[in-house]
Amino acid sequence: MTGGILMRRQWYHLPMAGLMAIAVVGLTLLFRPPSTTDFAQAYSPQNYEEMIATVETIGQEPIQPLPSNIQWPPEQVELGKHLFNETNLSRNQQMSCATCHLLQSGGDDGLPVAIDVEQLPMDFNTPTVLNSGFNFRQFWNGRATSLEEQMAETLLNPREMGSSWESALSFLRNNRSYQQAFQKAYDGNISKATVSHAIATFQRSLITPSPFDAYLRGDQQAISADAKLGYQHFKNYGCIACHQGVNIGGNIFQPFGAIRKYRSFFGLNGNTVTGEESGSDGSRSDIFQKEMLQHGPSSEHFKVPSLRNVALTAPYLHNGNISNLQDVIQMMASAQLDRTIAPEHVHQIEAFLNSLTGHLPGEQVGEQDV
Amino acid sequence: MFSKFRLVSFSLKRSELSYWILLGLLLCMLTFSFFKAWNSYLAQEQSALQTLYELGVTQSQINLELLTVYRTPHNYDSLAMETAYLHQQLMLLEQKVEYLPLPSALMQLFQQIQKEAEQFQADIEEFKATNSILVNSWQYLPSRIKETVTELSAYPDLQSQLTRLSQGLFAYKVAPANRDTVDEREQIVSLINQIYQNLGSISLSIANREAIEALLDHGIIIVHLQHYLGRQVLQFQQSPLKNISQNTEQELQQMLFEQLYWITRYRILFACTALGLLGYGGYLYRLRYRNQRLRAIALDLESKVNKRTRQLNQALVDVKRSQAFLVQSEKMSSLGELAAGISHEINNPTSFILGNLIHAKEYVTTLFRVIQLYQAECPSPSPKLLETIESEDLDFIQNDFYQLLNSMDNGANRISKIVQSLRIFSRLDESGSKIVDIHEGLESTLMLLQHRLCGHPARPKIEIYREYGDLDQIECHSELLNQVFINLLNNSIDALDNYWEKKQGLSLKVNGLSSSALPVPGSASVQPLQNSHIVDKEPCTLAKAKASVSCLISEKPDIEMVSETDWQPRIWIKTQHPQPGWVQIRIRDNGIGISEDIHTKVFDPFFTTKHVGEGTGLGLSTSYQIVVDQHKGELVLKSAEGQGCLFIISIPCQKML
Repeated sequence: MTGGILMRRQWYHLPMAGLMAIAVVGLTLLFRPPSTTDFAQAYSPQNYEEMIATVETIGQEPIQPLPSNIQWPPEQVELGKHLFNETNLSRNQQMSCATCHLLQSGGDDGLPVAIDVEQLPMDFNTPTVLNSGFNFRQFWNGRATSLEEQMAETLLNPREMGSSWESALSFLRNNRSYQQAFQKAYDGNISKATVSHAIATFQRSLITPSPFDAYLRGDQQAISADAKLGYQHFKNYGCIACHQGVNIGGNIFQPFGAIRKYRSFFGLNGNTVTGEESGSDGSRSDIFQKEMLQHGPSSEHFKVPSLRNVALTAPYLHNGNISNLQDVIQMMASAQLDRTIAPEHVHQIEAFLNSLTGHLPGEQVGEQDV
Repeated sequence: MFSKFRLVSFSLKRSELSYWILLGLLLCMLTFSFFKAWNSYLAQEQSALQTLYELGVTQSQINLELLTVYRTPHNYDSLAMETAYLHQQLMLLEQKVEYLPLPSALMQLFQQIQKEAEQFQADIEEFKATNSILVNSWQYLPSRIKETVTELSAYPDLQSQLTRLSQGLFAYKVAPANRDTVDEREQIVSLINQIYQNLGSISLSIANREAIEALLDHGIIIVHLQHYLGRQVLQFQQSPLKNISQNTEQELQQMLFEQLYWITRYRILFACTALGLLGYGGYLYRLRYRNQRLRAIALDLESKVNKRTRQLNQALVDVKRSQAFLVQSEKMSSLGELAAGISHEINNPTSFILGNLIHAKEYVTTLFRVIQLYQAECPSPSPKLLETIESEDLDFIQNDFYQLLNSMDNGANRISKIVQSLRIFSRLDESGSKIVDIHEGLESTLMLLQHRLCGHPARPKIEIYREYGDLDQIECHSELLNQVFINLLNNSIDALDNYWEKKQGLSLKVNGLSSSALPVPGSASVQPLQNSHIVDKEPCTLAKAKASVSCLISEKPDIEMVSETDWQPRIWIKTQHPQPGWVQIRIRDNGIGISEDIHTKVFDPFFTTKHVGEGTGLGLSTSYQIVVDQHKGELVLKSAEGQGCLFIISIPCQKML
């Protein structure tokens, strides 16, 4: 009367139950609905292209007003602000982002070139952090494609903050108030990604609507008559060819001495003009090669800087050579446009540039030059 | 029903292997199809394909933007945005593809995409920069030339050259980008060279000179960049990035399609297998459930059959036993009635004989005294009388006649005793349980068996050793107990007979162990008659036996210790109180014994080892019923072959005062 497989209770139940379970689990896994990405997130631009996508195009003007309807998660912005001012992230614990980017005076340091940890001059003038979210690339030579990349490089650069991710993260992870802030903003996740994202989000939130934006939106009284004339001169002289877009620059590279540089192609400086076309032999122009875009500074090519708040960010140019707005207008006209501008026009253009000075929402940006 | 179940069970057991094989097969198929259907990279590949598609869209968008900004004053935000999208998508694509197990051809295509994309982005940046310059020059040049020409009224040569330059440039500007404009370009370039040479020969104000040089710079820029940028735009439209990414998209799509094709089929296979497994499992469960029920039914049936069989066996035993008892008791009651009748009938003639013998002796004495007196008074009888006296030997008669009378007296006394024993044995005058003396019953039984105990030519006399304890009188059915005694003693005597015959090698009569209750009438009735004429030589009267045995009572000779040569047939009878409230009678012999194989059977009704017709097989079973059933006692047999046997009768008793 001894049974076989159907009789032996313990030998029958186990494999059968296992097989059934495998079958059911397998069916569930294989026939699960396709995963859908969550598109229903609150809209807050995360990078340059999304920032630009928020711009409302008004009219046919080459300059567009700053968007006014962007919302960022306030916890992340608040956290980013703290991190922006946090000196403990640097190696000597004395330097923060805000050391060089003074929000109250135009988002830069007011020096010709930046000063490193050892109080030695560095290579370039400090760009402003205001409206930097509308710059298509970061740094003078555009080697960083996002604010996050730029922030990480600055943190790790031994001449700047000189820190490391390990020490920065360990400081943040051991700090109670940061733990709470990260808990609110990122569910307690303290990592490279969240730290850089918080700071970048704070930077993207630094948008300074100006009287000129109001003018572009139709408020004819927002700027002075001089400024309006200055805007016309700005367009007529050709400044607008490079300083355009929502950030009035910041979306294009240009070589220094753009016009005159082409003379050499024709050998006009003492040589015979050949008429040879650039790149006609099949080789491409070497001036915008990848190396320039991604690595090291080029002595010739720079990202066209934004002109927003330009009145606050003296001294000017990549090396801070010129400290006066009128001078720099003249200088750029002669270097880039190969012409001189009449003094009254310079004055009007200056008025126009002054109308670009904006202020952070809820904050009064200092009006005086440093 | 039972046999049906066994058939099912058998078939299940035989097909056990096939169950395992089928289950294993299903499991293998399940695992195989699962791993075939489970492609963890599928989603990632699909996502890469999606990114490739978006990359293509972005490229088209960029091309559109390029056409929009080409040679027109415009802002580059849209183009920069699309370029940033492109960059983003390329990075995403790199991440997605990095760990995918792709064929090397596809991998190379992806690497080419990245490489071409870098070039593409650099080209776009260059385009943006140069386009700005070109646009600026176009904006600036027409009004500027007009101004300068009016200022240079003093130099008509230069004026006309500048006017020609302006016209040439205008013609050049409106020419389509794809037209071969080498001639026009050459003309403009030579014109510019001429103006430069003119400038060297003419003295001009510095402002004018610079203005003309600036004009020439712009002219150079237009000549240099316009056609170049036009070609660039065309090249962007057919950039290798576009082709490569389209190719890659197609390849990846093809690969995905093939993968999906197979994955779908494996999923269907998996689903079928899983469903089959589930169904098969359910089927097995159902089978098992039915099987269990069958088994339960079978077990139930089996137990019922066993129970019924036990009941039937018990009933059979009961029936046999009661039948035996009925037969026996009927026999005994008729025998008892017969014995009672006979004893009653014999008792009277015997008392006549006994009573008349006294008178007969007196009369004979008187007669002999008369004869003696007659002889004395008449000393000379007639010769004829003398002759008769001589011939008849009157003296002998005179002596022998007294002996004869004594002998008759003895015989009559024995008859009377036998009759009395019969009456005690049968107890027909008494019924139900009585308070009796066990010893009296034993003695009367021995008395009845006297004829079998006596020695005869075939066997020496059987010695009886009595070991009677100080027994209380007990209440019992004495006639039934007497039957038990006579049965057991008969068995013992048969066993002793057999043993003796076996020892003597005689084959007169081969009796096995007897379980018969009664002496076989044929042999039992004849022998006492044969011995009846030697009555007064009979040594084993009850009194004599009592006397001769009394000294041996305490002795219990061990059967094993009796040597073969010294062997004498013996029976030991012992009575005692083994414990208060119990009477025990032990009857033991040193006969042939009972082999242990049949110990369990000897009490069965109609079981006998004797030949057909010699034993009824009822003796021991009746005894068992009397002792166990009627007296609530115990009957135990202890024996081994060749070592005699011992029956122990234990009966509970109320102690009588």
